[in-house]
Amino acid sequence: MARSLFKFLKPEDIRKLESFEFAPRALVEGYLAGRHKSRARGSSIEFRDFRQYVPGDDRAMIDWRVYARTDRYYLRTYEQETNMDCHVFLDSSASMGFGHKLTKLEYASFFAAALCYLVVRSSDRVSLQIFDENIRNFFPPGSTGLHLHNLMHALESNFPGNKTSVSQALKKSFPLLKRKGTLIVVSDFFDDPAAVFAALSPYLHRGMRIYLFHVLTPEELDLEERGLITFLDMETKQKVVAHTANLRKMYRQAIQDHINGLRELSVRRNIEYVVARTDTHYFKLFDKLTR
Amino acid sequence: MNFVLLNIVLWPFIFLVGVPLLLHLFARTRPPVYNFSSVEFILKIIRQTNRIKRPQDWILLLVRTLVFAAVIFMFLQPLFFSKRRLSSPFERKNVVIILDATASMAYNEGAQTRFASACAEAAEVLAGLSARDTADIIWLKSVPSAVFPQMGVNFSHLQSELRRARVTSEAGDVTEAMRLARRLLESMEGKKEICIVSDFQKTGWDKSDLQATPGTDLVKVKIGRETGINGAVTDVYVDPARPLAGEEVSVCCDVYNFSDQPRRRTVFMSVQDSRQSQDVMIPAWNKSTAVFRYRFNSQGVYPVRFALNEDSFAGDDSRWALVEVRDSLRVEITGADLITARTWKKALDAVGWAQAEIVSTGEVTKLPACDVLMLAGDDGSGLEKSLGKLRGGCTVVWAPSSAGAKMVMPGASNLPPVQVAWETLKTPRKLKISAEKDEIFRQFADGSRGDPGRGTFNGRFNINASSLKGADILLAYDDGVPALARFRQQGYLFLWNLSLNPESGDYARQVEYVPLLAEMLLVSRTAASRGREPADFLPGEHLYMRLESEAPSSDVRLTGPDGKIFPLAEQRTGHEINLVSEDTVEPGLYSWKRQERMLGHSIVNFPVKESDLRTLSMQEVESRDSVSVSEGNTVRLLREGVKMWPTLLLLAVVLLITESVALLWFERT
Repeated sequence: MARSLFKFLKPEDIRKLESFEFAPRALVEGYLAGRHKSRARGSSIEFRDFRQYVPGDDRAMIDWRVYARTDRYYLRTYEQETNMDCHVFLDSSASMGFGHKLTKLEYASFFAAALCYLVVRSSDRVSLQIFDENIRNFFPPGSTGLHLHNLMHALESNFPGNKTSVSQALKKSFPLLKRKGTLIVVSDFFDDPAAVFAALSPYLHRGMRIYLFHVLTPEELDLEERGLITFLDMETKQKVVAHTANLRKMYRQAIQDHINGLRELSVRRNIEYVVARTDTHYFKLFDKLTR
Repeated sequence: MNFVLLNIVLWPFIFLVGVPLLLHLFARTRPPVYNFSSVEFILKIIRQTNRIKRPQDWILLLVRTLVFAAVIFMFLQPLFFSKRRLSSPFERKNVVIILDATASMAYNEGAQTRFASACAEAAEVLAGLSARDTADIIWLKSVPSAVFPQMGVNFSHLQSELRRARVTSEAGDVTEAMRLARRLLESMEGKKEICIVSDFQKTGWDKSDLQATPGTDLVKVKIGRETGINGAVTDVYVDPARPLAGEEVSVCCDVYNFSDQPRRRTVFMSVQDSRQSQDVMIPAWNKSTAVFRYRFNSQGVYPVRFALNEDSFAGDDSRWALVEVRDSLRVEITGADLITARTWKKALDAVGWAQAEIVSTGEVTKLPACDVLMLAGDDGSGLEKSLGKLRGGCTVVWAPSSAGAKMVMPGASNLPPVQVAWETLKTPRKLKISAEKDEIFRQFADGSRGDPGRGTFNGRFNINASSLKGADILLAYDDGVPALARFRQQGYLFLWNLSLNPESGDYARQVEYVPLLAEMLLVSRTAASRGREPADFLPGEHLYMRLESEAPSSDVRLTGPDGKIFPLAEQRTGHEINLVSEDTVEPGLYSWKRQERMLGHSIVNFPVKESDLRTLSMQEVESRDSVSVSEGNTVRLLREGVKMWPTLLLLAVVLLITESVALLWFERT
């Protein structure tokens, strides 16, 4: 087995990723001719539509045959293929440090690393933003190997930080993104769903395709039986004494309600929402991303 | 209500009751810490469920604490005493049981009599005593008696006495029984207790003074829960009370109905060889009188028996009376006015049924027993001394002295004597009848016997009618001055203001004078006393008879109603010889005979107050210084206490089940 250069991107994972292709189900807005369809009408060979000539249009684009038949100026328009920007937002709050065998942050880092690798391999650009309640680290979009190397180092040196505020982080990072593309948020979403989706609205207006990956451990989904115990909040350090037997049923219901609430809001806004259990392999998450 | 802990050594372990609370507190303060991603949901749940969970926690804590408490108290072995604790289990007890053996206890309630129930309850009380305790039984009857002369420990003998005991027909002397109980207990050491087992009949116990001495517990065990329905012959009398031979008299019998419904009863009268019956309707809680007409042909003492058709309480369904029939009334005439005395005697000698005798003026109280005492020309002193005879049922006729007299008012000792003064009339006065309907004038109603008010008077005693308080004015002068007045007491007192002196009037010469005097004396027999006669006895008493001669008493026999001969004892007082029965007697007719010659009769009748079978309620029986219960078993429990450990064990099990059910329920909800 080849020696692993990065903690979150192992050679065997790279081999497996060979069969994957990163292709978000959306048109992208790129400045290089690439594999992705774009709304921008460009110079590719795939015909799209006719459009009446307006002053300022390139006269070379006029279809003279149509002019001969109709005595009017029409332009032929074509689909333009372009490259894609993929923005990865990684939640690194203290709560992401929860997990027995594998913390949520580690799981999310594995996923983010693989995603970045796939994007760069597809000659698309990827940006990475590590946040808790603030933006702790931001890497602008890039598609070079050096860029990928930097991202891997950033992920490895990452650690669970302070309190979560996904909504605040999204608001703060919006000005940093210049082009529309795909926004992938990997978080445990311990935040107000309404606030989170309010913060996502500007991104949607810009036409970005958004994926929310809700990372949860099995212990969070199904509160394990521990008897009478003091729950210590990893973010707020608040202590709560309770008996898990008394809580379990209602807790399961509460977390399920939270998931359902996020899912419902996502469906309404045409946002992809995926629950990522840390006891399942992160490769399965690519099913949602790849065509 | 109080407790005694038998296993007091374990008392320090009582603090273990707090174990659940301590566990609850300490377990909650130091549970292991669990780093969790976010407690937001947990806090929300706790906020939602606290409203329900907190009471649930308290309930569980309470149930667990009670479980611990029940188990700990179970090991402490508590004894529970309800109402009042009679004694501690470690103390010596001295118990006197006063057991009601009076006649009302013979009433049959359900399967057994009240007396049988009382004996069973007393046996239950005795069974609750330990070997170091002492006890005695006092039978409550007319003369209460104790089984042991001193407190004893032979409980088996007391139990056998209870089994052999029979109810009496006597009334009870509660005061004497209590005095006897106090005397038995006074020298005893340890806890003292008087336990009264009775039906607490209203007529016998309503005003009883049940003061136990300080330091002595008084326990009342009430027997009998029913209001006994009963009919009884309560009185027998003859009207007139002193019948004469050949005279038809009314033999009366009072029958009482002790129930809340009117009842029809048949009354049977047996006298000599005659037997008559009569149906009477008796109102609820009231009496009716059955009247039989009968003629006694010759003088003598006649036993008369009245009986009812039997009911469930048979003791009082028959009653005896002795009717003394005479040939004549004994009349004693005395006083200073010989003219009046002789005129009275002359008239009474003429009627035939009066045996009149003029005795010299002397002490009235020394006069022999008589039916009528006539005082002629008395200054008031004789009248004052004859009031005793009046109360004894004797008829007194008082004619004041012309020299002046003071008349005392019978039955009104607080009133001053009335001064009576002679008055010579300038104008002759006539009489008028003031009470025409009176029984005295019944024979004159048709006019065939003349006018008893005929006559003219030149002199009289001037008496103000208003000063004769409580008197019936029978005859009066035409100006309203009373001429013949009557005072009703146990006997009758007649004020005779009719001058029989020829100088003062012509009344003695009138033909109506003799019949009026005769009627006056005959009718006055009605008011004779119905009090207890010398030959009347009550159950439980010793019969006695005074022998009037020096004849030997050894051949005198006393025979009971069933033919049983009673042993007699002789008591000599000076020249008098009294024969007394050695045994007490039951109701019935008893005969005194010398060989085969009848000396006389004695009758023993059921005590009337025992016929009313109503009992006091538990509230009435209860008093501040006593414990009242309805079962002897309860007395035993009051003394021994109720062992609580089985109850506590059961309680602990129930609480554990409750806790489990509560946990399951809470988990489900």
